Parts: sequence; structure tokens; C-alpha cells
Amino acid sequence: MSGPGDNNEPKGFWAKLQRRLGPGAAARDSWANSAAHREILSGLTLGETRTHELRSVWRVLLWAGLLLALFQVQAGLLTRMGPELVRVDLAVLFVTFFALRLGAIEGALAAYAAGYVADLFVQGPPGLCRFLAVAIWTGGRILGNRAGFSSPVGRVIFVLAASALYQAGTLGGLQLASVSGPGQIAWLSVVPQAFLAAALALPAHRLLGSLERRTSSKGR
Amino acid sequence: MLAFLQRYRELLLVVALLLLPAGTYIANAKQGRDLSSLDKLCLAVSAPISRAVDHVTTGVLGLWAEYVDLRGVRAENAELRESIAELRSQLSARTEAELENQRLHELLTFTRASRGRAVAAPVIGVSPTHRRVVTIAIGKDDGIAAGMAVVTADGVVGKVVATYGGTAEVQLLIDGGSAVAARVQRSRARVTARGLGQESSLQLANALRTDDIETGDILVTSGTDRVFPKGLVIGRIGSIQREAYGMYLQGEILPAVEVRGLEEVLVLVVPGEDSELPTAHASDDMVPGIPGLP
Repeated sequence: MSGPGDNNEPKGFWAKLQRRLGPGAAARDSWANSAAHREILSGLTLGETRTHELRSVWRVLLWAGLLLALFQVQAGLLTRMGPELVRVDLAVLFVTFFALRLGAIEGALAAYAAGYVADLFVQGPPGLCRFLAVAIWTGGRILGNRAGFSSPVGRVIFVLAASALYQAGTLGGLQLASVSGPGQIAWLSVVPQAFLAAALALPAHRLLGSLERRTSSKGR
Repeated sequence: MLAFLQRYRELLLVVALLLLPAGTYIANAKQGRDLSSLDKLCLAVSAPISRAVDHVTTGVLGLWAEYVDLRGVRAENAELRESIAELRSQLSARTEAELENQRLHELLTFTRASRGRAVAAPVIGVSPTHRRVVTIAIGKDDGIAAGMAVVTADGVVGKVVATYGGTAEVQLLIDGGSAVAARVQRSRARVTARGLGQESSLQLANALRTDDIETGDILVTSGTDRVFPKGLVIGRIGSIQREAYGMYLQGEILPAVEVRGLEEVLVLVVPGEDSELPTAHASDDMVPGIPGLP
């Protein structure tokens, strides 16, 4: 068993990738009681991080349930209030948060669950949103520290790019899956939705971070 | 092997979580999607949220739409109230003019039909005392003199008792000091209609017990008092007490003219001599149709 501070770490691409992916949060975050903060503190004792992270896996259900509820709220709102061009990219807001703030196992599973919930609402071929969500989570996890995603500006840029990629991926996936595809108009929504997601990134992540701290066994 | 799995478990998990949905997607991309039991469960559990939000949104949007609709209502309401008040005022003036026109038309018809000369005058005042006297807006300057008969198309009103420059006072038939020589139109019996000071009745006086007088008989002026020309309607017999003894009947007369609502009158400046006035002729022919009689 090895932790982040292990001197006998194996070399090579996979080992590097493994180090980047986890355990603990990817981003160095200045937020008090953040997962990264806790990981640094807990990293002093080898093995503690993974044990703690496994204890937090139950929260995957919490994240999935919350996202499901928010998707339903958005569905209810959009039924009456109109254009889907400006719907909030909830899945991306959640997945980017998971990538920056949660531990590897919890984050990966939560991203998968978020993709699953998104799949329910996209009504496309099953697995499309799940794959994209985990891919974005992985990208954020790997690039997190190097690209400076922990800063507010970096986080906004990350969410902007992630939303654009996620939507483009979803629409592309739908296009590949069916003859007719989602239609031209759907592609027009990519840019405004990405900007809307970026605009909401900081407050949304702050709220999710607050919930994460409240539900964390170490943060209490 | 176990050590490998433990060392790379995050990486392996991520790879699995990427490959699993990718494989699912590739396998099902060209097929229609069937919801699994878990999918259905998730949607069924969370669907009430969507419905509740939809319900609330509909309510809020409905409220908003109603608010927008109601924004101008207060001002519009005030405007409409103003319009209604103006229209009511116009309607009232029009009704008033119509009624006045009707009254004047009746007076004009009466005047044209009579042989004498009559002058129309509006009633401009009522005596504030116990006396039943009204003031009219013509007087000495207009050739009006005391003793002239004052009538309407309905019948006798009274007589001029005093004149001034532009006004005159008219003693009403119902005044306590008023008495008019009358005749029962049907039987031609001679009686006197005397005022009691009450608006709704006159006293039947000087009617012999043997005279043919019945309730409902119409009384007209006899012309023998030299004030009222012959044949003007005074009223109708209301009730009679015919005792088994005594010389005279006791009775009540219901006046033909409603003095309370009197607005215009005619002063008979030169009454037609020995000729009955049109209301009397009309009353002979159409007794139930005489205006003003109860």
C-alpha cells in the first residue's frame, strides 16, 4: 500500500497516471476543510486516505440523488418556461466539482452516477453520458493541478471547456447513433449553455462544497 | 496480483468506468433505448419533483399573467367610473328634459284646446308655513292678477291670491281656506270641494243626502264661483258616509292634481266663457283615462 508521499513509487506512464488520479482530490484547494486540505493532513498517515475515501463512497448516492432531483426541477421549469437553449448544464457542474474536490474513488463513481442520471434525461443510447462524464472527470483530475483549475478563474475555464466538450460529445454521440441526429438547432445551444455553466460554476461549486463538508466524516 | 490491484485500483476503476459505458454505447447505439428497471425506478421516484415544479411554475406564471393583466385595471376602473358618472348625469338630464317636454306638451295641448288664453309658468317656491301656497315665476308684469285660475292638464291646481312684479302666489286647492264650486260629472249634482290642508284629500261639502253621488264619481268645476271656468277636473269621490238622518252627505275627494310634484302650471288669464275646458270633455268620454286621477 502506498500513499502520496511514498518514496518507493513505481515509475512509468501508468504509475504516473495512477498518481495523478488518486487517491485524494486532484486540485490544491485553498478552501478550508476541502477534500484536498483533508487529504494533505491525512496524508501524513499512510493508508488513512484510502480508508477515509472508501467511507465516503455512500455519498455517491447523495450526489446522484441530488442531481436527479435537480434534473427533475429543471425539467419541470423548462416545461413551462421555454427554450431549452439556455438550460443549465447540471451534469457538467457536478462532474467538474467531483473532479476538483472529491477523492478518486468517490469522484469517479459519482461522475459515473451523474452520467447515468444524465443518460436518463438525454434519452439517447445508454452509456453515452456516463462515458463523457467519466472522461471529463478524468481529464479534470489529470490536468487539475497543472492547468491551475483550483483557482476561481481556472475553475470557470475548466467548466466552460468541460461543458462545451460534454455537449459536443453528447450531440456527436446522438448524431452517430441515429440517422436524423439531434438537429441543427441543438448545436446552437452548445455555446450559450457552456457560458451559462461557466457563469454558475463558482456559486454551484461553493454550494456543493458546503454540502460535501457537511456530509464528510472527516470534515465534521 | 492483489498488490497490483490495490496499487492501481483507482486507475483500474476509472478505466472500467470508461470502458463499460463506451461498450454499452457501442453495443446499443443503433438500437432503440429500452429503460431498465433501475431507470424506471429512478424516474418514477423523482418524477413528482418535476410535477411539483411544473405545478408551482404554472401557478407563478399564471399569477404573473394575471398581475400583468391587472396592472392597468385601476386606472381603467377610475376612467370607467368617471365615464359612468358622466353618462348618468347626461341620462338624468335627458330624462328630466324628456319629462319636462312631456309636461309642457300636455299643457300646450290643453292651451290650444281651450278657448281662453293661458300662460305657462314654472313653480319656483313652496310656502314654508302651514298654508298650502306655491310661488310661480310670472306675476303682475305678465298680466297676472289675483283670482285667476291655475290649472294643469290634469285638472285644477288652485287660484292666484297675490301677485308681485315677476312672481305670483297660488293658493292650492288643498289649502284649508280654499273652496271650489263643483258638480258631479255623472249626475250633475252640485257640491263644494273644500281644502283640508292635506295633500291627498279634499272635503266634500254641501252635498245633499238625496243627491246621486257614488264613490268614484268625477268632480268638475261648475263655473258658478266666477273663478274657475266650467268643466275643469277637480278630482274623484273617494268615500261617502250617507247617514239615515241629516241634510248633507259626508265625503272625501281625491284631488286630480298631485301638488307635491308640481313643476309647471297654466294660469288662465282669459278663461273661455260658458264653455267647458278640454279636460272636462275628455273626462266625459274617457273617464278611466284621465291623467292624474287615482
